[in-house]
Amino acid sequence: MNTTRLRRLCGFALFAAFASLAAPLVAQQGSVAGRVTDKVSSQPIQGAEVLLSGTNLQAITNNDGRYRIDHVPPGQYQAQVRLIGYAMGQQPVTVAAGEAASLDIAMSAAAIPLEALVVSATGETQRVKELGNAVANIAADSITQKAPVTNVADLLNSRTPGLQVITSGGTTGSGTRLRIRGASSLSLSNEPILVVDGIRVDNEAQSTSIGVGGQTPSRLNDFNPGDVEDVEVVKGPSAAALYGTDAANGVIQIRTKQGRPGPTRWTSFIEGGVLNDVGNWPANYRGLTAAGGGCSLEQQTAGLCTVARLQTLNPIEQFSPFRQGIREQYGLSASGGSEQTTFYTSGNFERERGVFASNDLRNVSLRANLHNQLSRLMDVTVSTGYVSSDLNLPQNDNNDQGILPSGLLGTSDTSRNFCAQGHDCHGYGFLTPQEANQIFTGQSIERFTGSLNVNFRPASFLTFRGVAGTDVTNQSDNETTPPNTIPLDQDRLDGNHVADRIQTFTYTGNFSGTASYRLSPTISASTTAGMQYTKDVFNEVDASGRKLVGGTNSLAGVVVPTVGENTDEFVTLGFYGQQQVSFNDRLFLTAALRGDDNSAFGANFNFITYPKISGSWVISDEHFFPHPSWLSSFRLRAAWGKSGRQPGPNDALQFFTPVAVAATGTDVPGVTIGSLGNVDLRPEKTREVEAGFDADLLDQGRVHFEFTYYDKDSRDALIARKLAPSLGVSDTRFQNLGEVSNKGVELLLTAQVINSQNLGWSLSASAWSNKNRLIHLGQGITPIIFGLGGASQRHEEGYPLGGYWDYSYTFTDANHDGLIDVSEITVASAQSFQGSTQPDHGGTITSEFTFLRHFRLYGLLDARYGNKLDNSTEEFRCLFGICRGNRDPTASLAEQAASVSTRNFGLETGYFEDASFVKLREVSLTYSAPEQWARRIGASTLSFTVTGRNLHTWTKYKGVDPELNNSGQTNFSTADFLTQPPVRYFIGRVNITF
Amino acid sequence: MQVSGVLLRLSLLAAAFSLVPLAGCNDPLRVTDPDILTPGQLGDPSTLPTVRAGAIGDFSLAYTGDGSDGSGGVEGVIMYGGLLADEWINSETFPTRIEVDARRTQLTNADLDLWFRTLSRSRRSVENAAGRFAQLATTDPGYPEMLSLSGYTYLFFAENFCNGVPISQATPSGTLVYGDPLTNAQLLDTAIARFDSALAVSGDPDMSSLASVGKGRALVDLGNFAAAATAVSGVPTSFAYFLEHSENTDRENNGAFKANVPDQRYSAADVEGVNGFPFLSVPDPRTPIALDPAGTGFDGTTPLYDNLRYGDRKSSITLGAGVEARLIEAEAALQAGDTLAGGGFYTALNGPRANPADRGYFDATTRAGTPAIGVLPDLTPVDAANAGGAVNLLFNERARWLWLTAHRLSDLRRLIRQYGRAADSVFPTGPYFKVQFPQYGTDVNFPIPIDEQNNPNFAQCIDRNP
Repeated sequence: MNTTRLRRLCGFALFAAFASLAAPLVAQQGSVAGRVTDKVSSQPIQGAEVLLSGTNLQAITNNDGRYRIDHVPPGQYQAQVRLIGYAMGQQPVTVAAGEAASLDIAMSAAAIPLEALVVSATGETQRVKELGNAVANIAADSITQKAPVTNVADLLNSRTPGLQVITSGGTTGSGTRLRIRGASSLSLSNEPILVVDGIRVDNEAQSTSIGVGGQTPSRLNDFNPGDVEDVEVVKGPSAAALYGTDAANGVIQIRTKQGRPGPTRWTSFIEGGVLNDVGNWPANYRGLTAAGGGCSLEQQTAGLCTVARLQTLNPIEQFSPFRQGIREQYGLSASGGSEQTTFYTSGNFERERGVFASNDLRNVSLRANLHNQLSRLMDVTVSTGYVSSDLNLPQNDNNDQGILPSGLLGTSDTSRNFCAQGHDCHGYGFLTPQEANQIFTGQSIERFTGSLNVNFRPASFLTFRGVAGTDVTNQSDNETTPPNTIPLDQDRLDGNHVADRIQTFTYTGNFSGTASYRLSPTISASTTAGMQYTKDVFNEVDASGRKLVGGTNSLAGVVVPTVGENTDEFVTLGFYGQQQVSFNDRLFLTAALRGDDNSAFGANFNFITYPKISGSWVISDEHFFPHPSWLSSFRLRAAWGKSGRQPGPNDALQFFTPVAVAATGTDVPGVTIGSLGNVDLRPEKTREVEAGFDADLLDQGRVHFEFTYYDKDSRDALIARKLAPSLGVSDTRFQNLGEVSNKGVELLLTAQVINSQNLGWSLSASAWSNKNRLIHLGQGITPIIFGLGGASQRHEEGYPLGGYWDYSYTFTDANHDGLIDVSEITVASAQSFQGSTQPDHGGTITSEFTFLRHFRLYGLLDARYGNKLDNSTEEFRCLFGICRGNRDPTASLAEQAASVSTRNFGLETGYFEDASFVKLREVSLTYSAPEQWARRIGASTLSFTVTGRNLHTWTKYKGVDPELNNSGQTNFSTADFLTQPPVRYFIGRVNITF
Repeated sequence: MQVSGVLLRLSLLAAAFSLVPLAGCNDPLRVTDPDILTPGQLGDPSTLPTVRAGAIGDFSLAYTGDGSDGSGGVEGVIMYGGLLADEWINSETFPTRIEVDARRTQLTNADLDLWFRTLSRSRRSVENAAGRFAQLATTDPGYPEMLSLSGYTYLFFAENFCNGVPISQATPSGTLVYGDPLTNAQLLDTAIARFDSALAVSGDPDMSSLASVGKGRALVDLGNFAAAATAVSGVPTSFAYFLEHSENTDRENNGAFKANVPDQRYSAADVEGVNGFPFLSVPDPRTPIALDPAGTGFDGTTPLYDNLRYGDRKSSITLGAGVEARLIEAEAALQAGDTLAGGGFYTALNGPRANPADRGYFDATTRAGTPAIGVLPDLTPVDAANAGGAVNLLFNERARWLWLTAHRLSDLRRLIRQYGRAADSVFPTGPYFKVQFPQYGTDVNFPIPIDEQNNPNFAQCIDRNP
């Protein structure tokens, strides 16, 4: 078919499709009207969807909970009421010709009842009990009311088992790693995909082109948590198969707030608080002889000197580089509308000044969401969000310009000007904090996210959904090192400036159709078919220059400029079908298949399919099931499915990259090897099976319990295989090798322990475990070695991905002199596994008390166990000869042995420390003021909240905090190396609703 | 509504939306990346200059590095070879380079890995370029040039690394062909074969001289001194082949200058570890050194001495030069016992000393106040006696003339291998001057980095012999 004919067909099909929308519809005969209320409080429920089963007739409740459905043919109907967070309500109603039937419905709220609603991959709203997977729904609006969160990562952290939010430090604006049911991919990102209001958005976890040592922002945190209605965590391939290639790591699905019918409701808040460093920083040591000369324990054991006294200085404690950070946030939103059109709009300003003078975040976010019932057959939702932010990051981590590195690797003597150039550096080794703070590293973001969701119900059994949208980010990364301020080397004394401009575009187009029908009085079914198109475009122009003219901070002021450009594109085109069958509304079976092609696949590979099967059985509804009084409902569920991960855009290609070459007296164009490529490259494929049960116990399901076991297995793992250097090609080549396994259990218990008028106590506890193993790396493939220093971590068969490896050693004070010398250490002959970098089990407890009618106390306790952290900070301090183990004769033998072993044998073994912890992450107290207080200021509600975050840590880890990573959000590299630990927040907030 | 009407609309709508991805009526999965070149784009003869330039750029990077500073950059033969020998000392905090300086290089040394990769990549790059010239332009001077540069890569592997360097290949289709470990002698034989190929196809005197000097150097490494002298006999003293540098990009920078002066990671050495050569304490205009105005290196404690031969980022560096040809002739005379006054040994040594115009390429570049080398007095047997013998005199002359041109490590190894010296008498030894290590180690060459164990034919060095 030639392109002209194809275009005509396109045009005709589109015309026909839109023409069909304008066709005349059915006659009008009666109506149903009523009110929807909360079963417990009797308060009206706003925004609930009321529909007559078997028809396309529906309405949405207004702020008084009222609804009305017109044009109802006479007959008997089953009315259903749906609202996410509530159990679905059902009641029969009879409509007579020309009359208005009255129907009031009461809905029950529960934590995760089986009747609760979630949004599926196909865009359908489904009841939890219809799904074969465990469903994690985070009620964002509820959380932000209990305890102000600083970003979306805080919103997700410790809220549901199976989702780990891995913090890398306490720098304001820095990001986090998200891992759902463990890491599956050795070489590709293990971040879940991010879906906002139905479209894919940029989820880059380390989004910067300019390094400051390790900490980087995550694009996840661009979104304002105050605009989020709820977050659904789709945990693995058994649930995510229909999301297609790239969904093997799970899906974070964010729904932003929508308006509810009724008068405009204004909500505002003012938030302010402080943040402080609470690190327990080590001193710098130096041993001195009686005569005042320097002496280390190594020298003492060699008989060269004796440590008579210690000289210590703690630059970070005594000459603190920290300030008290300040956080402020202001927000205003309005929502409301008619039954045909609702809106939600908000504006938010956030400012957080971090604990370093060079750390500052300003963020303005705007949102406007509009929902319109175009006709009773069609509704349209437009969601738009805009973010403008400016972030300044401090220098730290693996960085000689870093503030903490200068203090932690400095000296014990203020009189020594180790940091150079003739002034007192207070023991800071490379730069003083004042010098380091003069380096400006900033990132400006302008981001627009917009989606259009269309639902079209041409017949009672048929629904079409279309979603189109784009996520566009303009990122401007800048760095300026002013001339004559950084006395580390001549280049930095000359000054420099970097200006990188990056644009990312993510386009999504989804279309699906679902037909729901009954096969018999007891068997109903639905069939869905659809397609999805996604395209990611990344454009980067890097520009930098050195020898900066003083007083300028622009490329216009540099003497020697350099430029570069990088463009990447991905396209995925997928088609899917799904068949669901339910028996007696208690046994649900689902089978689905998705097929994808992707621009990043190798030339010899074209198409991949991802199947899925699941079943859910509310066995407690069966007549044969015993019905003890303490059991409200019991459901069994199981699911099996596959999903994938696509390779990088050029991983399959053999290519050269252009370079400039100095030759014949000038600069001429040349090329150098870029990548060897792999024409057989195909996506990584992950299979998952999960099974479990849900039980609602006691009266009205006051106790809800979930158990899930999962077994996830990634094959054809895309591994950036290290190539032997002697080949003379690229460092690595992506190959489909190996197999990674994650197995674990997830437990969730929620309980309304006390529920009286004056006292309420709800408790939620979760626990999880994950056994991560590299099953197979590939024939003839040696372990992949990496990590801080190049060799501290490995992917090795039979062990967790990225585990710590080194030579074990033993020590004994053979001569009983209280000191360990090199001869008293015995090093193993081969390297061995020293510990996992990631926790393998943990749990959270949240507790909420309501008392004295107006008070609510909320707390969150988080525990993680089973991992180690490379305390490379202390190791380097010993290499620098300033740690206690190297200088203090009273240091423990273990400390001394660790120091001797790293200095003499290059071992990090002594610094792989148990990093298990229990953290009191949040405590908040809210006072909801009496209505008369609110009325005095013309408001309808008024509340005050005080929150503390990162309040206490129980751990055996000897460094400043067990949740650190000098590599930020890199895939596996994990070490504590001169990193700012999480800071403690105290935040106050006033919420006012008009 | 009739079901048939619904189905019709359903069909139309589904058809319309399924065509959305094809709206452009092109392959919806087609993407472009303007930043790269595929092999097919380099198949035309008109791209040969680009291919040649790329190969030279890769070679230059492996030879000089681009000023590795801890968080980035690449080491070069001049830098790492000179650091393990006695031309540089470490003046910073980064552990990988401290290991090398202290003669204790670990297999896991990440900078060693990157340098070995870079050198291997340059070998592949120049061999590929030579292959392209062989196909498309056999009379182009670029052809023997690429063959000679190829020979130099084998020479550098042999002079710097242990016995056991494998040479592996990737075919154009991407198939990997792993090499077996080769001895230094085998690598030198390959180098000589490359130089001979260059000589066979060269119609350009300079390209012939480059091949001749490389061949002579390889023959000296093999101990075949007479053949080496024959190989270089036609090379004029004024000949020099430069690798050029530029301020334009980091990759084009003179890595020796950058790592030493602006980055302050390397300090020019003087009598390092008891045995080190007195590059500074016995002044000589061929090894101009001065204390950097900053006083100390990046570590804040080690005195920072600047090399003044390469005065800025764009200073060129010689790869092969006529002076080296004369030094090879002198060594052949020494080996032949021709060391009397006025004999072949002194004639060869004194030629370059007496004629500044012939070896201006060794004069310092651009740094203000650094004088040209000028005329040097003739050497006599008295000088040999003062140096402790003719061998010492020869190697002193080599140390001065060939300073910071990637010869010194090979010379120290040859003193052990060919002249019977003990390693502890030629390499830096005794207490190490930084806290990381109490004593110098025993390395006399570099191990093959651990990543080479991804080569199924490779396990480790055959030996670490000099």
